[in-house]
Amino acid sequence: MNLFLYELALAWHRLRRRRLHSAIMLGTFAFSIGLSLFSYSLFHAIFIKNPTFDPEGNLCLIEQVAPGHGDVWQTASPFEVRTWTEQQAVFSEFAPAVLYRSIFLGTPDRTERVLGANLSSGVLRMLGARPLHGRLFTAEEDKQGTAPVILLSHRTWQTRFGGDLTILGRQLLIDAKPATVVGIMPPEFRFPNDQEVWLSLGFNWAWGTSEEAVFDVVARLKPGQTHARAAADLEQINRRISSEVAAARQGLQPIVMPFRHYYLQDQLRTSALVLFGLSLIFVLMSSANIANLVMIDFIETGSELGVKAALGISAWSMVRHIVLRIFLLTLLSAMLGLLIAVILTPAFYQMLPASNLPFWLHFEMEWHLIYVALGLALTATAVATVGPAGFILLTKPETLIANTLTGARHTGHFTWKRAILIGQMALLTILGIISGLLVCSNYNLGHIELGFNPDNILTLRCGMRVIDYPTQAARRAAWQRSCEALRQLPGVTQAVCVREAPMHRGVLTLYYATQRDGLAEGRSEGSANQFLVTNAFFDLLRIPLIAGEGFRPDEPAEGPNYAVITRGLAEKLWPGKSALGRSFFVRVGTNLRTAPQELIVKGVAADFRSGPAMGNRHDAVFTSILKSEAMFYDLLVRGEQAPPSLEAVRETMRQTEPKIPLYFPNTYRGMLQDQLKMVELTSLLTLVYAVAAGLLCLVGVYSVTVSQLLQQKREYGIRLALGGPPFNLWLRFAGSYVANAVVGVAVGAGLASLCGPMLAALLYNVGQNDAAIFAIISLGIIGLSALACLPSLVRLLRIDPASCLRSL
Amino acid sequence: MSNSPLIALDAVTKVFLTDEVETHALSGIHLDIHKGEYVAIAGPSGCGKSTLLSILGLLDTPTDGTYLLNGRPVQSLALAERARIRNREIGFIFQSFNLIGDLTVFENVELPLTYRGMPAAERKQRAQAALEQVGMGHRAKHLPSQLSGGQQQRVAVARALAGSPAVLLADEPTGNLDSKNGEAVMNLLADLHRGGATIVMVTHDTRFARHAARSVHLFDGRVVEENAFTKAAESSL
Ligand SMILES: Nc1ncnc2c1ncn2[C@@H]1O[C@H](COP(=O)(O)OP(=O)(O)OP(=O)(O)O)[C@@H](O)[C@H]1O
Ligand SMILES: [Mg+2]
Repeated sequence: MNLFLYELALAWHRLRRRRLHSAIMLGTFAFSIGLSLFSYSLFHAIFIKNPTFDPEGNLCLIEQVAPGHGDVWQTASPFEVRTWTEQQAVFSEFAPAVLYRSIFLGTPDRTERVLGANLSSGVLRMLGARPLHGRLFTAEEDKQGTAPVILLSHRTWQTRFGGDLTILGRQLLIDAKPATVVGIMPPEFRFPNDQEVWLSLGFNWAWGTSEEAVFDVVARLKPGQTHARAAADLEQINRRISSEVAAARQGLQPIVMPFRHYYLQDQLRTSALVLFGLSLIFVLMSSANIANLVMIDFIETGSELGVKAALGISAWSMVRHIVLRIFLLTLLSAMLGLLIAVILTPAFYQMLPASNLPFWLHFEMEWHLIYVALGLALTATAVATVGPAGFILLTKPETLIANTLTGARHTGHFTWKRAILIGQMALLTILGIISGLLVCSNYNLGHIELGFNPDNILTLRCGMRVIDYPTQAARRAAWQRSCEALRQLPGVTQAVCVREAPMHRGVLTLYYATQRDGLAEGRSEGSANQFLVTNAFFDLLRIPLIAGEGFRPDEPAEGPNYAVITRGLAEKLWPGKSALGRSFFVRVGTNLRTAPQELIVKGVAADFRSGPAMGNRHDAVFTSILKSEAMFYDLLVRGEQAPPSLEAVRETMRQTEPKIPLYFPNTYRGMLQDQLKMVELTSLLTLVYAVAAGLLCLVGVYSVTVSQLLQQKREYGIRLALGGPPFNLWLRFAGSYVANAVVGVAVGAGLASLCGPMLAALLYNVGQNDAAIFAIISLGIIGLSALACLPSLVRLLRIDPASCLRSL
Repeated sequence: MSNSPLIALDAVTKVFLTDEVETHALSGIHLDIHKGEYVAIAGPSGCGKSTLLSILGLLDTPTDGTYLLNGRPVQSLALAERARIRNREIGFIFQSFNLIGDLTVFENVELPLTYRGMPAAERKQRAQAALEQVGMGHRAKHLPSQLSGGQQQRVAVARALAGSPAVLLADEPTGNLDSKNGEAVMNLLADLHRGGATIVMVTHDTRFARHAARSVHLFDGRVVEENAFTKAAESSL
């Protein structure tokens, strides 16, 4: 033990002697650990950690997709739910819900739109829900036609009703129908997100026909069942009942997904996976750097081994000392890394726009992070000590002693170290190229030409209720009146209603084809964003019409359907030809039941950025809002110098259409910034990774070259004594490293191009094998490694041949 | 023999500064060495012999004083120029043979010549000749570790010779050898001297000092005694 303490003191002394070197090594390692822990916590939250409402992780969500429309989920019909419930054998619990409903909640003083959901008693049971006050729904209340009952969220109870317990048993207006409050939920109950009100499943009168397919299904897998097997089971049931369902619903394929996937876009999942993968490469690389630190130490104290061997210390205890010493070192930096992660990760989560993430995804300091840090430290220790330990164990003590006496150095490690360097370079190149591609892609996403002018615009969301505006004509007249009144406001230059504003997350999707049967059975020639507009829309957003004309202000509700399409889409539909007067077919929205509609192109508008910020679909089809049944839309009001004041707009609306509620006020710029924030954050993160990769590259080559030079100090001393020109000697030395770097970079670039298919989905406007990025990153890394050889020049010039030659 | 010395040291001082302790390794050395001389430098351990040799070999610079090599002041030349002169004018032979382990015997001998940018053919021919001269021609392909100590030292001598330097500097060339091998190396140096080579050799073995025509004794960084042996004096006349 005393010997061990002595060893530690010695190690500490050596660390301090090469202060800069040690600080760089420890620093980069701590940094990589911090980055890995951060990526791990994200990975863990997204892939491993179960949401609070699903501690066992076996809750599933069941939706359906039409073949060929894998991205569009369809809800289940009551008949399907009933049949599944009776015939399925893979789930232990199975219950329907309607997870998102936008409802009007009437409180004594006003009516507001709030987020709600219909939950069946079975779903509440599966979630293990307990009411704070009152009761939950009964199975009886799942049935259609029963008295409508609701549960309030804790927040709504507090903020809207002042925590008044007498609310229990009272009636509130839900979509203008009275419903009884039977329970208040505790603050931690949030499902599926920040719902304010939960309605009983029987509370479904607003849905139209009782066989309408509106149900999401929540179910619990039986132990030992897989999601795939469950989906296959349901698909078999679907096949059996296919003769009994409507034609449009035949052949639907059920998908069974872990409930957490419901919250997480594929892109977020892939990002988390890529980040985690990258961070593991980081740890490997900085372990290799630590290995080099160890090698330097080992070389410089090589003669010590012989002395120890001569003193009769066994090889095993020498190895043990080395391992312990390195472990202490890595442990120190791992704890530093943990600190970095604990400080930086919550800050990062805070930067994420809350609307894009599930409520349960947040950073917690969890104990297993310490284990992960410990694991990483152990891995690094293993990587770093395998060389020296192997050498000690495989060399006879007599040889160690003889080496010390004759001053022979352990030249055998040259190839080993070069192999590490090449491997490190290869990893770096992969890291660099992936980061480069992502940075480029994010840059592109952040800098797509908008093609429209979002300045000085106020946006509001508004909706109408059927009871207030029962017919399409009434709705149309109402918003026409509102827009007219708003245009009269001083300083307002234009006001329009549109569904939805470009780049909004809720932009509508349509599938198109040039022939009617091109849309049969879920086929299509492509998809585009659909906007329901009036002509004033183009004026308001300054989107030029480049051919044809826009919509007439008095477009009749009947008659042929006209459309304005963007230039890019026109080029896709009829390459090289004028689109004006031609017709094509679309299926609006996601519902396969709706028959394809024929649209006649009336005008062609300039291309603009119309899809959601993270998406890359920007082709657009405009149809007249006058022909739509829309009840919700975005109100855009443009001011002359600045966005018009919210108060003035509210007041005008109160005077013209008091029954239209307004919510989500924002400026268009503000709305776009929210949308682009995710893009920026991903950008930032990938940039951090790219910069860190460059840093690791510098440190890696620096440490390898310096350690190599130290190892060959004597040889260089002799060469210098014999009159070797110092600069030429260094050039040859550095040249051989750059050559190794080139080999490593080539290997890495090859491997990176193999990763391409996985990345393709994440990239916007950047090829997964983008030659320019591959070239720039590869040359950059080679350049950096040349740069990192410079300190070895200083070391070489500092070699004193006289003392080298004198010393043994 | 020309009158101007090949090497002329005047008031050369060397002070080492380590941890704020000044070590006066050499103080005020005057020493002239002419072409074709064989000089032995002797003295007790720590008196500054190796330091003197390092300065003579331009491996180190004097703290003070002047050093004329071939009439040209060299005490304060730039790094690259010092390297160039070392390579062309000076041949080193050290106590621990200082061969590069990764290179063959032949490559070791050839090494200083490559730094001159000498054409390969001439280089090969010279290296081979130097190896023949020390009787190691048949071991050209071996690695240093495959040779005995005496053989290694002969290779080191060949390496020093190959560039036809103006002066051969040897620091205890027999220190790591048994007496038989030591004697062989000494005979080799004597042969070279007879062939016209200028040699400066550090030794504290008086038996070997006798091989030299002139011996310089150092004590505490100063020259305390110079004597020329009769036998050597005859040959230098
Ligand atoms: N690089 C150095 N730094 C500090 N002191 C030095 C250095 N080189 C030599 N010295 C000191 O200078 C003095 C002369 O050393 P030098 O090596 O020339 O002695 P030497 O005569 O060759 O001895 P030996 O016969 O033992 O080889 C010694 O006191 C030594 O400690
Ligand atoms: Mg000495």
